[in-house]
Amino acid sequence: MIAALALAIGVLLGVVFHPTVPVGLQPYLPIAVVAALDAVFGALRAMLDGIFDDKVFVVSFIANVLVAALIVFLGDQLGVGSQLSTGVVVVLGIRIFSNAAAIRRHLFRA
Amino acid sequence: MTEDPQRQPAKKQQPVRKQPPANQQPPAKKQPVKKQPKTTPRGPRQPAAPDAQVERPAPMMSTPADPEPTVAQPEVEPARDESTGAPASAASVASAASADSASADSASSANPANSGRWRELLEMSRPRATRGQLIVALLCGLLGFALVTQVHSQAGAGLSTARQADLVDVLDNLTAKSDQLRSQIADQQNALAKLTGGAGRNQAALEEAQQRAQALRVLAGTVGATGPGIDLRVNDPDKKITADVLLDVLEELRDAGAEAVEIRGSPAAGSGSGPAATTAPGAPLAVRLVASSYFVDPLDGTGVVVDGTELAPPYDLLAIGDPPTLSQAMGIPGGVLDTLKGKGGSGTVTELDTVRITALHVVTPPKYAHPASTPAAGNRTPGGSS
Repeated sequence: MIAALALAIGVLLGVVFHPTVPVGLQPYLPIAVVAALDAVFGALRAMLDGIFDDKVFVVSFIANVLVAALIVFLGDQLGVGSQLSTGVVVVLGIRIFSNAAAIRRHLFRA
Repeated sequence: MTEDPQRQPAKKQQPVRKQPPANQQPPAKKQPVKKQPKTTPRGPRQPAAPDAQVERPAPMMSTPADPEPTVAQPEVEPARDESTGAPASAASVASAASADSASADSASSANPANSGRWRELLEMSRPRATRGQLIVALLCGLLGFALVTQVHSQAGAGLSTARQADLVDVLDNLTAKSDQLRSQIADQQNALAKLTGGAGRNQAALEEAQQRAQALRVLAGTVGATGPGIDLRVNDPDKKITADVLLDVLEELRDAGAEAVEIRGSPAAGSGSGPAATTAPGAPLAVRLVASSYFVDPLDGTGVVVDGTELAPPYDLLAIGDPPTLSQAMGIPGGVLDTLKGKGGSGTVTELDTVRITALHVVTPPKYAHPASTPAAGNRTPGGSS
């Protein structure tokens, strides 16, 4: 509940302040957002499974974001940044889908 | 309640903590992929679980995985009761395995399991002001903020976030397109110049042709004419003026620059009006004199036949031209007036500011002569049409 509230507050803050993304952060922010989304979906699913844990969520959230950013950074350094970021997005998207499927099965039994 | 969750996760975390990294992901991947074959996932999963976990997590590991197969396996009615029961039993097993003190929480989670998972979700998301929850909330808020920021940046700056390769692609596309458009512009401009130039030339040609047609119409006698000129009255009391005299007069007028000439005379007394008579008998007849006009002496010897119209004296020759020149040409010694006098008649020249020539010559299209070039055709057509 608090998390959902905080999410809404964050969205509101973003809308209100309308910040500009720093140039250095620009390639990493979208990937980081997708990774964080994956962590959030995983947490939702774990919550439904009854095995949710704050610490795990925090660690997985931060680790996901950092690893995703690192992969993109590495890709940029190697000259395959766009391909690698695409790959990261694909993998994260698959995970998000599977997590969403599990959540859906829990909530709707379908 | 605040005590329970604190104690509860603390006890739960022992089995759970190590699982999620292994647990959150493997089921996530295995569920959608290996929905149909249920026997295969169990095989690798069960040996894997005991390896990674202690004896307690093993049932935990299998229980979250189990409800899904049980849900998916039996599609019949009893499946529901069992499946609803299965998570409840799983939770109770977990809580029983962890501690008896968790029975309150397990009961609270088991009861909503019967009515639905939604209440369980609500139960789980009940606000609890622990430090972990706050951190989670912080992270979620951060996520929302970053999400909106990214969306905004994406919506605001289209190209500033694009990669170099993409930018090069975009640049290439734009260059190609601009080249294409530029050549298109050149083509269109050429076409425009061609069209406007052609239109201007056409316009000028048309105006010139119209002016020429107008002038030729006056010469051909198909339109009326007005302008300064003279009126030469030829009196012939003795009927001695013959056709050749009148023809000389006409030629003299033309030599002097007459541009349009008309002859008027009284209708011939004897033989009525000719075929080209323009007015009722009794009124003066008028004949337009053009290049093809002819003068013939009638058989009875009175008057003259002009272009098929028999006229009787006195004649009036109306000529449009420079009045002084025309009158001087008439008065040349040995000229028209002298000739008329010598024939027994008389001529009177009156200079007029405005001479109106209204008689028209009917042009018959040439039967044998055809125009050799287009301007000639342009001249002929308006002449024939009017």
